[in-house]
Order: sequence, then C-alpha cells, then structure tokens
Amino acid sequence: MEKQLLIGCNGRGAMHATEPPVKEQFRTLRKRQGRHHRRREHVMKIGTGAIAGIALFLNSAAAMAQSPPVRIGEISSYSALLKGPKDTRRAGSSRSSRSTPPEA
Amino acid sequence: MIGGRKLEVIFRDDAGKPEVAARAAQELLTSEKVDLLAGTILSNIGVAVTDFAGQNKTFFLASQALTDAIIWEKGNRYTFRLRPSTYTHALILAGEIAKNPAKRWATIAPNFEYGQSAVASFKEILKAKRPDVEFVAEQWPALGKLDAG
Repeated sequence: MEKQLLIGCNGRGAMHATEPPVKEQFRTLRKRQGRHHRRREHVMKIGTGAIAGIALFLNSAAAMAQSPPVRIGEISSYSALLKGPKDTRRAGSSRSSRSTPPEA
Repeated sequence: MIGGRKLEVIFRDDAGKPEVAARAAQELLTSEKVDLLAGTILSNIGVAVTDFAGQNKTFFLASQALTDAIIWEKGNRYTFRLRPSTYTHALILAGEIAKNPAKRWATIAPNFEYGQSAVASFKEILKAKRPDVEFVAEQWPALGKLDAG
C-alpha cells in the first residue's frame, strides 16, 4: 500500500494531493520512517517519477507519430496592414499610425 | 498540440483583398489539404471566407473580423467567430452615449463592411435607447484614407 502510494510522486506532490486519504497515508508513512529512511525513499520517489515521466513522454510521442497533424490554413492581411496608409503618417515622425484597426 | 495531435499552421496573405482571400482559401483546401480555415482581420475578407466555408462545408474560425454578417445574415453552420461582433461593441458604446444630453449626432466610419456594420448597429441601438436623438450626417472615407488632420 505504501509503495503504491509513493510511485510516481515526490513528497511535495503527495502532501498537496487533493485526496484527503492520500495526504493522511503520506503523513502516517513519514511518522513511521526515520529521517535517513525518508531520504532514501525520496530518491526512490524521484527515480520512479522520472521513469513514469519518460514513459508518459514516449507514450505521447508514439501517439503523435501515429496521428497525422491537424493542418490549419491561416489567412490574414499581413502585407496590407503592415504597409499602412501613407496619409496617416504624422509630420516629423517616422512612425505610422495606421487608420486600419487591428481588428475590423 | 491538442488532444495528442500536433498542429501545423500554413499562412497565406490576402493582401487586403477578398478575391485574393477566396483564392488562398481554395488553394489551402485543395493543395495544402488543410483541415480547417482560420484568421482574417478585415470584415469584408471575413465575409468572403465565410461564404467560401459555407460553399465548401469547411470549418472556419473568424479570428478578428468583427462584422455581424459573419454569423448573422451571411453566416453558415461552418463559420464561428472568436471575438465580440460590431453589435456588441456598439451596444457598449451606445449605452454610454445615451447618457449624453446631446441629441444631434454625426458618424464617420471607414467605407467597408466593418464601418457599415458598426454604424448600422450603433444607430439602431442608440435610437432604441434614446428615441429623441437625430443622425444629421454620415461620412464614409475609404478604408485607409481617413485624413485626421
């Protein structure tokens, strides 16, 4: 039960777990263990967490490789809006105040 | 990445012209094999791509174009909008304007879909809130040609 609780999470994660039974089990476990033992557990926890993370990453990478990407066609007035109207330039200023709003 | 699937975005420039936007939409759909269309800034271009989306039964997310026509009189079941429309903007503006004691108003707006839609909504809403107001003049400078002095 204790090992099952700890796999894939470090101490901080377990203490912040929203499930009250999980928090309680973790507190009980810490009380039972000595300081030295907790350190070793911590190393084990980080190790298992990292392995779980790598497994998740590989799993999602494999899923991505199998699924084709979603292709989105984006159409916008890049050249028209960047160019901007000449008659809105202020005298003595190199900046153009475009009369075309960013959304219209 | 969404739902475990990578997103690829293919960009096209419409040059501020509805006909260019419609050609770009066609090319994106047939050559680039896109799954959906998105974007457009200017309302007249938003309307053109809305029309294309309806005819080709392609999902279109209008990200910036504000005209009400995109989802009202020219809308279709394939087109959705991301931003509040000109009606929403006019509703807020007219609500504040209605508190002003002035009764005679003039409007100045760029002469294309966005300006026309915004003024129409503004007049309708303000008149409903303040039946005593009167619109005495309209000015319609061409898009990008407003000379503010």
